[in-house]
Amino acid sequence: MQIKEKLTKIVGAENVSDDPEVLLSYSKDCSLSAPRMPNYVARPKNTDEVHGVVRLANENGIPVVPASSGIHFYGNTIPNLGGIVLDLRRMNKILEVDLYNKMVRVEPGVTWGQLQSEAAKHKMMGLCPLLPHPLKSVLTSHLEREPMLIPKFEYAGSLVTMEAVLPEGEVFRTGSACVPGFPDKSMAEGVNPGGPGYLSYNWLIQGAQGTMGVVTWAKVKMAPRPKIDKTLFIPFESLEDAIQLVYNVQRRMIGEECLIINSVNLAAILTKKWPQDYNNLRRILTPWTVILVLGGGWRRPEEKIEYEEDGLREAAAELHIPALPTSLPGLPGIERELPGMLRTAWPEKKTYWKFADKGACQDVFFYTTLNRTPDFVQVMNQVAAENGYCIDDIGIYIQPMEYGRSCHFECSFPYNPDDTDEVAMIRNLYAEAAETAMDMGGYFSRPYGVVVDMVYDKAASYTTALKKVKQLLDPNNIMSPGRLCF
Amino acid sequence: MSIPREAYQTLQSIVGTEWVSDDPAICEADRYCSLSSPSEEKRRPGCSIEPVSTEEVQAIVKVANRYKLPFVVTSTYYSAGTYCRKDDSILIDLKRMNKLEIDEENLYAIVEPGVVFSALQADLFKRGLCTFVPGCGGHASVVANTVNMGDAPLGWRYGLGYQRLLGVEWVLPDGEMLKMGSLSMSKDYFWGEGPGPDLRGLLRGCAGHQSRMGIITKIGVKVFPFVSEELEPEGWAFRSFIKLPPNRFKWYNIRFYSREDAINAMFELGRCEIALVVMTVPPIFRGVARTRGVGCGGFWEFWKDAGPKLNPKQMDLRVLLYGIGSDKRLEYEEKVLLDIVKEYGGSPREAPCRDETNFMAADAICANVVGGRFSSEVSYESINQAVRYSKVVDKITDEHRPPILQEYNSTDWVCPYELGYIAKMECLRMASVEDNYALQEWKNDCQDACAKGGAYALVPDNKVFGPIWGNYPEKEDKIRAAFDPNHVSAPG
Ligand SMILES: Cc1cc2nc3c(=O)[nH]c(=O)nc-3n(C[C@H](O)[C@H](O)[C@H](O)COP(=O)(O)OP(=O)(O)OC[C@H]3O[C@@H](n4cnc5c(N)ncnc54)[C@H](O)[C@@H]3O)c2cc1C
Repeated sequence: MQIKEKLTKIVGAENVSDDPEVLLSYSKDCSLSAPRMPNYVARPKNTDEVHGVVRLANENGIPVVPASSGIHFYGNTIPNLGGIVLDLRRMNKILEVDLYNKMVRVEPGVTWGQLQSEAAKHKMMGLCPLLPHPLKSVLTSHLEREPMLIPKFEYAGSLVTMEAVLPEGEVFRTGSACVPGFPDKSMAEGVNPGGPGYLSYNWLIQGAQGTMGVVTWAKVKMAPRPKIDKTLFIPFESLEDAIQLVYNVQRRMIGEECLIINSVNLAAILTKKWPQDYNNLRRILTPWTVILVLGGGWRRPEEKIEYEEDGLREAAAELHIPALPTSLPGLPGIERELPGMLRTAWPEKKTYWKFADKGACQDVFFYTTLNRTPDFVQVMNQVAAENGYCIDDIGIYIQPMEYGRSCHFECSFPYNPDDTDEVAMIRNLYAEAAETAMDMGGYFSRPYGVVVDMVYDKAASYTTALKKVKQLLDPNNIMSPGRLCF
Repeated sequence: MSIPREAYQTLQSIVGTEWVSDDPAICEADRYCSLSSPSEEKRRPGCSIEPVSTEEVQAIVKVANRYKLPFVVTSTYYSAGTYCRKDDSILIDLKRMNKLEIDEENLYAIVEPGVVFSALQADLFKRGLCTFVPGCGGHASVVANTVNMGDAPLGWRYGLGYQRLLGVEWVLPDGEMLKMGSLSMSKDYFWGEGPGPDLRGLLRGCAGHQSRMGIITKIGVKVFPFVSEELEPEGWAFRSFIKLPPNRFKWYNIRFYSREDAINAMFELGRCEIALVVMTVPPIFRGVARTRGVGCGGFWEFWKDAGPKLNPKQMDLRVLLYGIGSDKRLEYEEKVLLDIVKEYGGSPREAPCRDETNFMAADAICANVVGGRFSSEVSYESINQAVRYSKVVDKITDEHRPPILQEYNSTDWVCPYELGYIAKMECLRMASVEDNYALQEWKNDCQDACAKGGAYALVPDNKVFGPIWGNYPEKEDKIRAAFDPNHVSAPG
């Protein structure tokens, strides 16, 4: 039997394709990564079918590349060596809303909009990254360890347990979800990420970009949705000052969503009418804005906001910050709108904010500590200028993590994807920016594209150990071969 | 049998003759380098060595591999399960590796294995920061505790050990070095995961590998924002405590008249995201605290009267309200707590504004105070599992009583962490020395019940749980064989 027939037997004829037109859409994404056609696309609807496909692939040495979102930004679902793309979007059920443990169990195809509207019914919210694309999978946001907007330590480690089909075809559940009878007949509720035993499979599979197995569901943390909110937009001319405020506020463990954003990104997010609003906003916004949402908790919400405002005023007074505005010039009512915006996906009908200016965008992102971010801004500007990129167009987003202990630094370079010269320049700029940031100590925990080789060349001991683990879990190297250091 | 002369001389050349010894007296003492009961299984090490740097550790491990000598590592000797199980083992004692650095602005510390929690905490307090101190006491090694366990009531805000682990420097069982997280690419310890798949997954699961996967020589650990007021110590052990600033902290003991109400209150505290500590208070713990310093006789005297008066339906919660960040926060937290308590029919009682165990404790562990032998069934899972599984454990205990001592099912401790995303359950049981066997039988029955009921036990018996928990022992064996080809890292 041919592979296609075998796949058809597993997932049904309507869910297998080798039609070149269909395959073409899986061969490329929104990144600068080189396209590569898969041989097949299979669209399973449950774990059994995923299991069937992975076993088939393992027996025949065919690469399998899982894909959960309807859009990809970093080239990490392009089948570098061909094979089967496993499109998991049909698996889009919210399997369990676990209100006791403040968690939700989702299949890979569940999107942020879908999750957040379900969570809101229960007065909860998923822990969301910054304005995810409407087609973005919740599961992969967590799996890829995307930074979340609320920098509370207690929300860290947000992917708690998962079910994965391992490369050799075993269906395996991580942490306490491994117990027999889970979830309906067990005492355990799948909330301990460690184990089973002395290893954390949960960690080995996260950040693996599909190289360690196919995740078929994940249990992730949610948070209680504040009953009322108060949004502050605190303007800054200098990033150094913005950072000091964030340190001060986070040290007091105050607030919900908290981020630092430059005028380019903020304008792109808040623009309603392109391009006039955008240009206008870029002109009137200060270079940096700290967005801080104070959330009234489940009980006595007004009083909670009141004490948080008090703490915030103290934090600001220490730094001689004169005012704590709750609005933005030219955008009446935005303070009421923003918390809702930040707690769901970008609207389907609007062009995605990162693409609205020029049609495409290349991001360079890494972890660092807040006090080092001004140096990174300076260097990113320098590298951009040297490459002929207009530094006024660079978007910067700084996400404090865990009470300001560190931060995600994201530098976005919007560009015109139809202009071949500009694309070539961006390609070069991207590589140089990443390399420079890395030399300065920027930590690329999630390497993509050209950054991958830079990272694994540098992290020599880690690379050796990682390869050993991969060899044990995936001896035939069928899971997303050619990705990371595998 | 003894360690080959050549190997011993090489070890001497690595650390200097004064830091390695095969003197039978010293080795005999180190045979009992763990807290667990003396047993035949504990072998006297062939030598005991105290390196001072990562380079020395790496060289020692290479010697162990060259001569195929087993090694066992200890940082501060408080482990229950680690000791030499093979003859001619090298006992590697890391207490001389005690460097400590704090990045105050970015909330992390870099520690070597010899740094204990009390030392770290004292330095952090000076900077308006705080760390977690494990229930077993401030004398435990930050490294050993974080990579193996890392739990205590402050976990309500500070999580379990695995949540606090950042960059790691690790001498693998074959002597190769592995650097993880941000450390893999630079000298920085500030970030833990990756790059890519997170190999901290090899370091620990639910608990750590207890010396069976090489030696951690340095880690970055997260530390936490804290109040700026000074905490003043007072008294002498066993009656020492820290005075807490009353504008920032308030303890409440709350009695609930049904377990369900107490548990629901706990869930609600998690949803409201208040407090620094939330836990149930097993009456026997309170008994131990009250009888500090009077020995086990004094305890049992007290318990003889107090125990039978317990109402098994009641459950007490202890909550430490936390006014960090704003002068009005404590007031807010208190109002929310009292609202919740009222809703669930509890009786709140304010307790003295001081702390005996959570922030500094050198004498926290009290289990041995009651004398005899003890064993415990521990699990880290949901609050719901803690409630259900402890009921099962209580039932099993009744079947083994006597000889298991009467604690009136009052030891079941539920201690939630991370605002209730996960919780510890600990059921402690005691017997006299000669009835130790009964505790083992009880433990076996608990494990069977755990397996049947789908609970998640902390220390699973591989034979019982391996086949039903995804064959994890086979996976561990494969990993260990790949990373420890000579099978020298704490074998047996
Ligand atoms: C009565 C009792 C109560 C306890 N209560 C608690 C508690 O409340 N909370 C808690 O978290 N734990 C508790 N524990 C568990 C344990 O004691 C602690 O985790 C403690 O930190 C371990 O002891 P230690 O720090 O002295 O480490 P050690 O005894 O030095 O080591 C502990 C383990 O780690 C290994 N190890 C040590 N150093 C290294 C290293 N550098 N690299 C690799 N492996 C290493 C050792 O071989 C050993 O297996 C308790 C134990 C007992 C016996």
